[in-house]
Amino acid sequence: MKLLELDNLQVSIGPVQAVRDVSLSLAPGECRALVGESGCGKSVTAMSLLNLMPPTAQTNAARWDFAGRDMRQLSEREWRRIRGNEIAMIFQNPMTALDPTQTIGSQIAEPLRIHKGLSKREARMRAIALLERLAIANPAQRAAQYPFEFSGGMLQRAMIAMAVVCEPQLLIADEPTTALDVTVQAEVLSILRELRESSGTAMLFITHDLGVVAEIADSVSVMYAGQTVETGSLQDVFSREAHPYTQALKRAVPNMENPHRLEAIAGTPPDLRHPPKGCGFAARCCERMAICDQLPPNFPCESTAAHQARCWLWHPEHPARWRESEQ
Amino acid sequence: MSAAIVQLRELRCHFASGEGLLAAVDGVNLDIKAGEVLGLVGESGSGKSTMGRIIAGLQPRSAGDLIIGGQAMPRHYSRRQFKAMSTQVQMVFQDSYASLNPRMTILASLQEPLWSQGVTGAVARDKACYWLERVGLPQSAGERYPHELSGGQRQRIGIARAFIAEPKLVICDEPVSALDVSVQAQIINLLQELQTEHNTAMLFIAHDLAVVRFLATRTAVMYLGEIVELGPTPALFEGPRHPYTARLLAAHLDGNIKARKVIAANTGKAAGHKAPLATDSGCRFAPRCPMAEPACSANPPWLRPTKVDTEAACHRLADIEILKLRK
Repeated sequence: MKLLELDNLQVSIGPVQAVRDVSLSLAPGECRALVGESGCGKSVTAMSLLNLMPPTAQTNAARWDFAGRDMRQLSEREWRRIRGNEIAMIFQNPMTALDPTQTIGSQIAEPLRIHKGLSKREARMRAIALLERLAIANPAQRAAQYPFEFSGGMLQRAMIAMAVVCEPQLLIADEPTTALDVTVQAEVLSILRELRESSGTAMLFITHDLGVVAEIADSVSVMYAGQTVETGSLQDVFSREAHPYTQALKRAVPNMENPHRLEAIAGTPPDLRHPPKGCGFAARCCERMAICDQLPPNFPCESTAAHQARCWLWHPEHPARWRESEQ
Repeated sequence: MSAAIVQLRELRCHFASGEGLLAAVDGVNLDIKAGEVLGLVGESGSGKSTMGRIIAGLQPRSAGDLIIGGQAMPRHYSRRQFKAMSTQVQMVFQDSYASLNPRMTILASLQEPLWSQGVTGAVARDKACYWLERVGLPQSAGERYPHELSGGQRQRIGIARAFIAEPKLVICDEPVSALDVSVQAQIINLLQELQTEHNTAMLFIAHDLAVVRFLATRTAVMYLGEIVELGPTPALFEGPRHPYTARLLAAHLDGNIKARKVIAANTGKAAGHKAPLATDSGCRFAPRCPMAEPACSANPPWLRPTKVDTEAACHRLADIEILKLRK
């Protein structure tokens, strides 16, 4: 039984088709990484999953089920009961996501009071206990402080505390470690992993850092120009990458073990006001075929059942497949 | 080749803060040789940017000597001295938007360093056009304004602007950390090409270890205002001697899924992260160091040669080397 099933999510904001076709699923306790460069629609996908897009945005999905409910039917009232309670989010920049005029403790306690109906006192105790679990020294004093008194890594931990305090079934983390130092990043990742193991929360981890993905994810979805172009387990996407974009991305990252010349991806992503007729990556792709410009590979082509790549190379009648079947 | 263009002798930069004198840079001795790429790594707050800014003349030092091209530099520059210095040292900044004048066209911005050297008119214009092309931008980009370009394109302009006056040293302060992976690869390749083409020395400040490993011939590791380890990049990355370098390398996520790093929760006593003060005695890393002894907090360590051709500032260097050899 899947916790989240999302099929063909489309979001357009005015003339921009920010998300064109995102399909992903999450099992309870699974950590899926959503990888892609800026402007590819990762954050829009995340915000849509919380129904936090502005009213001018138009959202459409063929299927959008969460914990057995059809999320497309929910009213704003019902959404309010879900947000922060069943689905919670860790934002990239804790300094702007936290309220500067409220103490850290009261911000962490707020979801408990709203969703679980706890008293002020009880909620505060729970917040302090959580801060202590997240390795913040003197949690009782710290809870009475304001965001500006916290360092970046501590703020991110406060942000995590706020998100997990109601023990959500799904935690969406939007680049939670991008602004942090490597040593603090390691700490935050280990906290997230521990939380996931202890409470079985499913996680959608949005990042552009492949190193972080390798560290924390079970499965990976790669996004490009508003579409999920490759989906599979961590092993699939990292050692048998099937989509040319994923392959190019991996060649563009410096590697500590064998420093090689970096192969940059030539060109720029398409303008999503006028998305291309065919495959979004065709213009920059080294495997480009005639059909790539004409028709989008709109069927998620399968290399194996769980590992899918949206690419004409994986069409069952591509010559490479003939050779495989002959062997 | 090995003539030093920049020499730092006991360089200090102290700021007044609530707790006393904050030692952003505290007694740094360093030579930057002609034609080399020196990587400078460390966490935020370690003083790496301050050091870059002192060398570029953007920040007066508190004490110590700064020698550029064999000439001792004054603490405060007169206009004329600053101009003379800027023909030798140029800087590429992290925020490419903030570092360009929004009211000047790209072509004008590019010519500015030439104008200040007395090169004007068609000569400067031709040179700027050449550099536009050299960094991979179309001539039409010259008539545009900074906000009309993408982050990657703006960073190319920043680089062209630094190299156009043919300086002996270019200081790059996190030039790629704000960019996407694929753009990052383009910029790194461009920097490397220009560096070899013009044999310009480069001080490359970054927190991304993989990028430094890729670009730098020598690497310096900074911790709270001091250089704790210094040496040829391969030796330093393969056999780190200082416990801080080892910690930094251990926290780096290299995208290797076969060897996930098991990061224990509570690794960092980040709560005990203290600002460096001028009155500190002893090793600043001691409170976080797994190897620390009571003696470490008594006297400050100094850079000593190790068996792998690097230098490390650690009281327990001898013990660490024995441990490493046993492995």
